[in-house]
Amino acid sequence: MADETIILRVLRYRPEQDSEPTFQEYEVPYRKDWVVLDALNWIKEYKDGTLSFRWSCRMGVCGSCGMMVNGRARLTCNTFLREFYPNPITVEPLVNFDIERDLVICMDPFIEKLKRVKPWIIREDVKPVEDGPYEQSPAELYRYKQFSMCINCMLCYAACPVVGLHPEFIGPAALALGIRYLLDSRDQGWDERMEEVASHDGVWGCTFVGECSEVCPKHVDPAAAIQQGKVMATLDWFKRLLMPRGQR
Amino acid sequence: MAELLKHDVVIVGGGAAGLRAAIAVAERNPNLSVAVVSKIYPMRSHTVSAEGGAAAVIKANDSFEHHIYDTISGADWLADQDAVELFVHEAPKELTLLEHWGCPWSRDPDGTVAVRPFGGMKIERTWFAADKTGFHMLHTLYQTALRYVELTWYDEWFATKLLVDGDRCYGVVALELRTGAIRGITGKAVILCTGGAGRVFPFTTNAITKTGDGMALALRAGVPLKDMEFIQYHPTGLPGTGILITEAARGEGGIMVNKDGYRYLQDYGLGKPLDVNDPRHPVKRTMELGPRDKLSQAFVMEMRKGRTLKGPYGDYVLLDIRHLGEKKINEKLPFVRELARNYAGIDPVYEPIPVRPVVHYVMGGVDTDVDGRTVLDGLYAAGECACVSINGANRLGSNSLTECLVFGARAGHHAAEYVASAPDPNDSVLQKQVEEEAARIRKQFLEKTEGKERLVTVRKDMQNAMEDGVGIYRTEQSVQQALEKVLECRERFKEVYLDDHTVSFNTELISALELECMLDVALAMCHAALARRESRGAHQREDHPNRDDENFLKHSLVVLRDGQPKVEWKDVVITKWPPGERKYGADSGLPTDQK
Amino acid sequence: MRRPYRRPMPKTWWLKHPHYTLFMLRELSAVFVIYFALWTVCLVQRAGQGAEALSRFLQTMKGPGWILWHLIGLAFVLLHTYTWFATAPKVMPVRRGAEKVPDGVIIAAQWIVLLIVSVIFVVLLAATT
Repeated sequence: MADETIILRVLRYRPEQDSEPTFQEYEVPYRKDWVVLDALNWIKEYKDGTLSFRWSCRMGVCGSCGMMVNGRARLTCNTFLREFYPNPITVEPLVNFDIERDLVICMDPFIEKLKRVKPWIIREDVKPVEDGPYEQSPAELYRYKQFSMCINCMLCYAACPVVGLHPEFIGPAALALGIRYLLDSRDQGWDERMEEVASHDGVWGCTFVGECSEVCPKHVDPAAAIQQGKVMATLDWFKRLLMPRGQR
Repeated sequence: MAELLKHDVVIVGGGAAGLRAAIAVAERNPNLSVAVVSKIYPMRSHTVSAEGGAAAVIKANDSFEHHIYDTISGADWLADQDAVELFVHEAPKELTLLEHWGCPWSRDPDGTVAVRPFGGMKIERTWFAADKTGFHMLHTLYQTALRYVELTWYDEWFATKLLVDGDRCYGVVALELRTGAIRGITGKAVILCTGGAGRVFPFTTNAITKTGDGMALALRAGVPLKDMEFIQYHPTGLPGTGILITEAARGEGGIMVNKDGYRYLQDYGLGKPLDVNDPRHPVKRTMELGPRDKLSQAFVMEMRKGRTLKGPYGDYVLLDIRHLGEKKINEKLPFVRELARNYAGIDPVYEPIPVRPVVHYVMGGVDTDVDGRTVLDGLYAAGECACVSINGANRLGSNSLTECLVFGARAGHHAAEYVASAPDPNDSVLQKQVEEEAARIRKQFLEKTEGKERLVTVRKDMQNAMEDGVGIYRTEQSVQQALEKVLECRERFKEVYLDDHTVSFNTELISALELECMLDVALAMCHAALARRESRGAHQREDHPNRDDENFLKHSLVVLRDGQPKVEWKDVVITKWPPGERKYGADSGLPTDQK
Repeated sequence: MRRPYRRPMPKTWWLKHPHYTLFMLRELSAVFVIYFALWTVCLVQRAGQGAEALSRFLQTMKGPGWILWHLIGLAFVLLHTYTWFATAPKVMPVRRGAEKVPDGVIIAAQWIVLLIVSVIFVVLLAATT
């Protein structure tokens, strides 16, 4: 049992020496309870220290280790080798992002998009901290709770063809977070946040492929968030048409 | 040589403490420029893995007195009582702020924030967001911090050295991962918020990033590390991976049984068990809701009696939450279910979860006062990398997230005031230090042409030595052996030869720099563990099995003197709560007038 | 140093996974929805031109080519209906307090309504002819 192995085909790109990415094969011990990340770490520790990738918590919550595994966007810390064994596994960096090196992608566009939806509570009247927390019923909490579960792993960006075809699209995760704040009973930033969410790069960029929700490891369902965002944006547009500002 | 990157305050670390500190500086003085230097993107920080919750007095049935007493007795009286008092009083304000910033705290039906009990608590006071509290807190802090234009984000920059001019700290040398550039990031104050050092041990709940970087940086700059012998083992980690199963599983009513299905904790002075269907179960400060140190020690005793189960990853016991039912598990402990299914291959709705004690938290850290100040002017620390100390010999579950907020904010506020009056540094002195550090890193790692050691073997040898020698139970001999092994690993580290000699995103180089930090931290832990010849909280010396208040009601301080680690001592601040016996079970140990 | 590499998106991206292919087919199905709307307009127009024109039109439609074409169209419209109904619980989630009404219930309800409407339509049609 101990000498069973599995092949990992890993996309390599070292900016200092490679003009373009190429695949490199590694033979890795096969263990039933190993995830793809374990195999990558085994390579890095024992075979080839030059292989670069991101990881941290190894328990599916930090969002660092998203990669393409056999063409699908996955968290490598909870993708088990046994799912593929004895067939080889192809590991690539997330698509729709620039490759920084090997399996490491450039996150800059995502951070910029996250800022665009203003992912923070906006208040006109700020309650003094001495007056304690805002009240929020469990029902109000559940309106947005699901969309607050995003770990920013960006698998949804890799799964979304719109992101690939139209790089300015704010994208599933950031839009879901924007809508999470729109749905939060404590938030009063509707107008300024709606400007981004309902923009051309916002919810209207989405053609509802739905793949973002398929790959989401936390069941955030960003596709649902965005479709709800479209409804909200539409109603908002009518309300603006019929009512003067500030009447909502 | 590139110019210095100049700011007013430099924060190292982007977890709960670092982000809270950053917001605190920006709020206190919006004219200040703040650098947030983090070796990973802030939302990846290990705060994200905290599950169960954060403690603060909010409900009418609770009181500051209770929280203070639970913390101090949990700490086996090694906590500074002035710090604990201040911490407990500021905790509700900090958690309320998080609420105002959008943290999705779980709620009671009336819309108020819900609380749950944790181990070692007389009254339930843990605020929670299901069982992903740390995740929600971190993302709330990060997203809130994004609105502050005063903050400059140095994401994926690894700090390697503190810049010191005269007797003040003025910034850090940091390596930008994607370019490999080594630059000086300067400010008149530096706040270390780098978290813990669980990865010094082989089996830990901690993320790969928890390598004690900030502690090592401070130690090298001549700043003492306090109480480093106190390592908290969490009683319920998954065998093999060490993934944490939150204490909230027991707070909600989960029980622990040995191989005979027997609730073994009743044999270790933690009270008598109630039936799981008894409406009074779980009883606070009793049985499964005892403190973490006692529960982890009970496991070792059970193992020695041969009453644990055997698995491929060593001995284990069972955490049973089946009686809570699927609905409650899904509502209150969804992440526990997800983790158990993924990484233990069982569904806790139908099967008990295999667990064993696992290194979770370092009570010790950079010696600071209640404002996060260290002995080096301009250097602050907060969060797990600091030791104020409120955690003493054993941290109370759910105090750590709150600690990040309370002391992150205090350090930020103090630093914002301090930089207004601190003198300017001599840039050329700092520039020279940056150049020296860059040359050192190139020479020691990137330009090295030979070496016979591989990174992983040195790291594993150090980790195993620490587990064997400085684990749940220690003796002088076991710690001495660990120390010798760590010293040997430090020598071998000089012979490490990397595969990767490039500069762009060289993660192997980062691993080497992290191991270098861990070797320093391990050294400090061994020296402190040797010097404390008593048993207290998480430090159990089998050759000195009793607590010795006469000689050791003191904080240990490990400090480098002429390059050599020395152990010094500092008195514990005792105000209103004289050292007493830690009592759990039927007799809660609360003084009668406080019951 | 830094030299980020941008991978081009292949033109055949929609063949890479059945979900993407299905998405493209769904987008295509909109064409048939428009087609059937226009076809209905034609039908009404012929009916307005009198019984003979209508009869000629219907006779043409009985040709095997037309029938095949309309069967294909029907398949696409059914696909469109299926995906549209599947969207509803995502777009308009129904909550009872903290509990969400399961997606399946909402989707099934729509099919039932469609079925009822169709039956009524067929019954009315049968009654008038």
